[in-house]
Amino acid sequence: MPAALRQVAAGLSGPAARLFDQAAAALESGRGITGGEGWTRALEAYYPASALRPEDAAALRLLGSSLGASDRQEQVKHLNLCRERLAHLEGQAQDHAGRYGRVWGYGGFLTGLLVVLVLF
Amino acid sequence: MVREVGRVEAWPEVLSAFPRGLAALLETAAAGFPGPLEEIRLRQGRPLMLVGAGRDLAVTPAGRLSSDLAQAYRPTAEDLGRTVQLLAQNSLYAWEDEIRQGFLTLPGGHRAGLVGRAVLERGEVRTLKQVGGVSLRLARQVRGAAGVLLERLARAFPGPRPPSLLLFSPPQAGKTTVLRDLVRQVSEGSPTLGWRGLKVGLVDERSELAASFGGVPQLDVGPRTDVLDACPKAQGLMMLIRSMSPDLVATDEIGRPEDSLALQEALGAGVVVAATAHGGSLEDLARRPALRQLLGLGAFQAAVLLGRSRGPGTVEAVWDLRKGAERIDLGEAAGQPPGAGSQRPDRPAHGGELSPAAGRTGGSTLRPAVAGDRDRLRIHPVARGLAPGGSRAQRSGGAAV
Repeated sequence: MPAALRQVAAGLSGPAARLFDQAAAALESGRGITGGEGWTRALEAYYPASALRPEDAAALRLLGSSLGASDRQEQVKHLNLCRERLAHLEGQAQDHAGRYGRVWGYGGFLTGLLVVLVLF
Repeated sequence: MVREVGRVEAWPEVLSAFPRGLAALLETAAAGFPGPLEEIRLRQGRPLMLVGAGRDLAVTPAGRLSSDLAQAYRPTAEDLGRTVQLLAQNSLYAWEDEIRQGFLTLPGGHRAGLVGRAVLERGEVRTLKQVGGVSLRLARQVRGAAGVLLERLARAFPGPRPPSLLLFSPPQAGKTTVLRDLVRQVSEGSPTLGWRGLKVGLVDERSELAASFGGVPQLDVGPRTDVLDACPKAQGLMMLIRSMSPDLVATDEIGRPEDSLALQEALGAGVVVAATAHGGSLEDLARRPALRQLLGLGAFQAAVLLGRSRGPGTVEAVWDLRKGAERIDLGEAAGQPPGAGSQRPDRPAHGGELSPAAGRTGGSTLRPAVAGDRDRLRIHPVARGLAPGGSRAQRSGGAAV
């Protein structure tokens, strides 16, 4: 999982890359930390300074509870569900151009994570 | 000289496979365990236990050891769920093949057996869900574990190479440990035994023998050993023979029909074979079709029964299969311990409700047994076509006089 997160981070730039890097670092440094805990820690550190709305963060938090915790088929299902949720939120944010860009960006990096998990 | 390495250094990586609270309990309890620790057993809602030195003890919520199971900490569903995630290094999706077979191998070669609810797809197990039990077997490297065995084999089978051999025993008798050391010593070579270092091809299907990580063996399997990690045995043997020109190929736990075919290919190519199998006697082996076929074809020159009479890895008996399963005299010297090793000698025992000395088996567990004069099998399993259901005495390798 840390390697997958790093790989996704390397393909991104800006704040989203930091989120993935932080999640990878949390998993690499902590003894007994699950994938979901590492992801949540990184998200909570990153969220206050980001342009994420609470509902965006909630969707990403929900993803954390399943990250790395099931087989490939289930992982793909969870990632697709999260992508759909973010796409829905994107629609809601159409009138906020700045946020639109960010939300669209998260949908994009989740595609990256999905590809990495499927290929790993 | 026998020297046990690996577990002291590996302890932090073993503990990192458990959630923090559980890891703290285990660390405290293991420090007081009376003897070499072999297994950690988690069963949901039932006593957390440590196993080793022929006994199991419960771990209390305070991290103490107790023989009273009622005092034990009982792992929760969350404990089990988190443990499985951590065992899989938070990447359960990357371990599908292993989970389907019911185990995961950690860095260091430690093996976690899993039980739970099987999820089927077209009649085949796709994965395990709701894992309700984990058995973590601690890997160990014991340098010299195969020393006495190799010495006896060199004497009985003079020549520039060791004989093709089958190591067999019931589970947890040290097969993997002895095979690993045999591979290391054959790869290094031994002037005393008259063997130069040989090229060894090792198929490590379960990543237990070499404990490879990132393609590099984490345990010492010798300077001339090429490892095919996590590769199915039969396929791996063929790949190694074709690509790496080994003098000897080694693999663990053979028994499937395809293993038999691959080993026959190896022997046909003039390659020495060293393999292990489950079984308590030659008769047990002969009941398994693939092994029966190999024995019938004379694939192995020697068969070695390992046991626990003096701890895991005890060489209980060796047979020369060229002579119709003639038992080889292990000699008087075989009764002498080749050395002493112990687990975590740097750790003082503390915290247990039992005395750390109680039940200690005393150092290295890899001593050869004293065997009698050339014993012969009363019934040669291959020659006589043994039917299932032989007597207990016949099934016991040590009683085959």
